[in-house]
Amino acid sequence: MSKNIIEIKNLHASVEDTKIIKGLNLKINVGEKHTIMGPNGSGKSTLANVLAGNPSYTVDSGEIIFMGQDLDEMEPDIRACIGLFLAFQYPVELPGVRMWQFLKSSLDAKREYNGQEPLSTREFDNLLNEYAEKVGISQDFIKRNVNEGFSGGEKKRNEILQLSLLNPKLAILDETDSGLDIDALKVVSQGIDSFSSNENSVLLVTHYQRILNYIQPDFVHVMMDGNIVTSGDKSLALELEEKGYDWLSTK
Amino acid sequence: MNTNKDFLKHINNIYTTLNQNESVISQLREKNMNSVNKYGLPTHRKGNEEWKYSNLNRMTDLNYSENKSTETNLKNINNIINMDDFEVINIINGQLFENKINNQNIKIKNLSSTTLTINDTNKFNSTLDGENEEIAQLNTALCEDPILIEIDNKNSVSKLIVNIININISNDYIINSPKLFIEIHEDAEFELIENHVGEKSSLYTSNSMIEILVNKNSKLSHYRFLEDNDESIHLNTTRIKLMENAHVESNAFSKGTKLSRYDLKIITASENSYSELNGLYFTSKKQHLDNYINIDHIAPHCTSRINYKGILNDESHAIFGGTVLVREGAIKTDSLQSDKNLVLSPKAEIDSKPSLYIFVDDILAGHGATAGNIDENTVYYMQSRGLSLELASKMLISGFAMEIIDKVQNQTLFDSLLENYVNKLPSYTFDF
Repeated sequence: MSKNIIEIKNLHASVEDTKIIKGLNLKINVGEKHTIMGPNGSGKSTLANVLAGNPSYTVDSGEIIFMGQDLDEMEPDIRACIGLFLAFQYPVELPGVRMWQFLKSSLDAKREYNGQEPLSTREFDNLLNEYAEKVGISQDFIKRNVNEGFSGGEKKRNEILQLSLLNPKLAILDETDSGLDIDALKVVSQGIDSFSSNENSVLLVTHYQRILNYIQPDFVHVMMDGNIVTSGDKSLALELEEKGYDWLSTK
Repeated sequence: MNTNKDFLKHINNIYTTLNQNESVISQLREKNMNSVNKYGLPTHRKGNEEWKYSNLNRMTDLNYSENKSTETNLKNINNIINMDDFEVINIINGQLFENKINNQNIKIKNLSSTTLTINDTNKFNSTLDGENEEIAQLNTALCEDPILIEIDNKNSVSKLIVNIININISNDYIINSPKLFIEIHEDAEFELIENHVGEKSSLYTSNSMIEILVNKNSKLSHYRFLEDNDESIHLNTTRIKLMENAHVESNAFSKGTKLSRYDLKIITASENSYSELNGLYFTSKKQHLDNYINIDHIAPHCTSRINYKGILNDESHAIFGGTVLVREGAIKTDSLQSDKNLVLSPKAEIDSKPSLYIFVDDILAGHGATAGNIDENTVYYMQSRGLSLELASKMLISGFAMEIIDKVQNQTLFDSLLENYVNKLPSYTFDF
């Protein structure tokens, strides 16, 4: 039995007729942490969104096999229910939708899909309080509308709270580190770190090496012009930090 | 001028019957009937901004009957509100039916009980200012049983439910013209629930008028429910006049009917008043709902807030109009006006036109209107957390409504709004 969580084969994807991803291959095994780095416009966020099923993107060809299932045409909510999670680069505000209601409904939906009973209010509250405390989200926030009036850092913490609650098999983090101050970066990194185990996998999309001071990736991939141009271990990230991306494009 | 001769003939017949016996209200009826005959009803045409989107032909083209049912059995009428800590009066087809008020602070006089004096009648229409009054004039010409309510309490809150009920067993429409003047005396606090309902299969036009004088240092919490039935015509003129330091919070919850128009005007007659007008409207099928919400800032140092939201479905049409007028003397006015709409169907139409006229410097004022359907990216975010399209849209639609419902302080009303509005909102059919 293969231990891979996701396998992407020769993926081509576009948005509004513009080809963004051009024949990308990537395999992530259980327990691995992968990082994708690359300059602006290289297709990193597109990849994250294609995996999550964003309807604005079109898969032109290729295959994405997640947990043994072909994701082609699968709705984003079903992807979430079978264990895929995307932490958004720009988390969306949900006017009038309370945090508690949103988080409870999300977890209930996932549990129901997987044939589990929904948690009781008390069980859920205990779980929620535990995770909220870890990422520094106060009770006050739980009563508020989702992301409404949250600062950039609070929105990202909220993404990590959802990650912890939903406990997916694969967590894709789309530039979760951007726009964070040092304290928030620590909290968010710790959240990712404590989620990560040998039973799940992480795909971290980032611009900067600095989050890798907190999260140790097993693999670093560099994406340019819609494809992975080179892969390596953590030392590759350090090299990129020093030299930038230009040396790769002229390689 | 609306020239539907059958309608004019009908209303003149009703007027003649009502006014055949001399009463304290005769002259007022007569004066207003003459105005209606002279000027007619507002016409739906270009250039008439107030009535640009609503056509009263929907009302005048109907067949009317002069015979009103005297049925007073309310068993078959849904949505009549009764609450333990509130006094209740029921007005059936324009006539005060029950007056069992125990609270000494709520005094009620009305025409049919002959308690109304000629001096009292001078109060009716005293809040009108000569503009856009045709519907109010029609109400006054045909009012069956004008009611005067006085609120006079110092240390407690007076609470009253006014159920405005319509019943008709005939196969033609009837016109009901409930008329109320409410005076809240100085330093008093009053909670008013104004509830418009009708027997399910009854055909009726309800043209009501409510004037409220909020005296110095007094406070009004106003809840208005438009629950008239699908086939009904609902016209309402409400004038709230605010004296010094008066405070009003008004929350209007409206469901569409064949044709409805809510004409509300707040008049800041003296300094330092505060008014907050919240509204939630929901239209479906081929309903037509018109909110005409106005604030006349006359006195200085007054604050006003308008926050209306609409949810439109099917082939319904909703309108948000009205003006915030800041007159020359109204320095230090602070006013915000907002109307937001969620349009769930491509065939639904919203015309939102808040306007602002300012004739003085040194004020704060703003206004805005939005209309849109559910944002695709927002739904994607929710779906990416495992929520189905249907559940996500339902949560967003009720979330949209909750912003107004959350302003309701009364717990019983809050709960019934959840039940009656939020749990009955439609889900959205996506075409992406």
